[in-house]
Amino acid sequence: MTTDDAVRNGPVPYREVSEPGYAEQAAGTFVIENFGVGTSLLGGRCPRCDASIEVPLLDDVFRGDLGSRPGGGTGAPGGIRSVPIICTCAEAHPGRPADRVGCGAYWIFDVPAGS
Amino acid sequence: MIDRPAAGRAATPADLRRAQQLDAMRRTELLRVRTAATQWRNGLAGLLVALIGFSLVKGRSDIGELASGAAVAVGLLLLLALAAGASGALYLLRAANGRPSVVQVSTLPPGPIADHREAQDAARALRRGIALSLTCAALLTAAVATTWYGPAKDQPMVELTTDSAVLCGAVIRIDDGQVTLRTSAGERLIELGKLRAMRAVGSCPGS
Repeated sequence: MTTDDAVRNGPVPYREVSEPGYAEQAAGTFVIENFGVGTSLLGGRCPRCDASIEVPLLDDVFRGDLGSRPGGGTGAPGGIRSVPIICTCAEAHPGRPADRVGCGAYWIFDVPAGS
Repeated sequence: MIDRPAAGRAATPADLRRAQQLDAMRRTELLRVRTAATQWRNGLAGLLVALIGFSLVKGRSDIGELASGAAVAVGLLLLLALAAGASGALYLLRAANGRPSVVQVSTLPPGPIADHREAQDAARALRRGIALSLTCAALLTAAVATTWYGPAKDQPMVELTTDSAVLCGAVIRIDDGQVTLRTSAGERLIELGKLRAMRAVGSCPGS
């Protein structure tokens, strides 16, 4: 689905779905930008709703009890880690629960472990 | 450095839940740090107010009654408590409200990265603020404890000269024409009529 399709047909309804081609299609548009150790940003287009999205890849995130928790997938330094990605677009998608974001699409990326 | 991801394995609903959980944690990270900092600030302020304002701990009302070494120690402890408390308060305020700084637009990272960095800085400031505030409370307690248990200032000493001796000690009482003096050799009675000289001294030889 392209942006023009979305304009013509309206936004796709929210549906939590992962189709075999999502990861391959998204990999063609996404880039990883590094902002220092353990801090990167994935940016590209959602393979389902075609919205432009950004997904931070972080090693640590504030938990609330003053500790931190690993932010992404796993993987040895210098290797590859698998990172689950969801569409995080801010577009309106009919049927989306109040506590959700995006259109519901999700997939797995393999990224360098240092990202 | 710009890199590209590769397509991974087939995703499962567990991957979806994991991604949703992490996304929610990242989105709310800065807000959660700010909220935690505000609550810690209020709680620690209450603790210090209870310590000071409600006199839960109270020592001598006048540190002038303390021996000079103990009085200096109390002063130093209070000074360190003030420094720790002021630093801790500034760290907690920084964690709760951010730094009032102006930055060049060209140096700003993308929004999610900027928020994450600010959250990490705020969390660091929060940890330091908590540690310093508790250190302040501990130093205040130590200062009060020193006023409780610190040695009292020595009694004033006098040196009395009679026809036959020079005696030094603290005056216990004067009665029936005699002065009772506590010396290093015990209590001594001296006839007032035999006194030839009397002078105050800071300390007695050998005491």
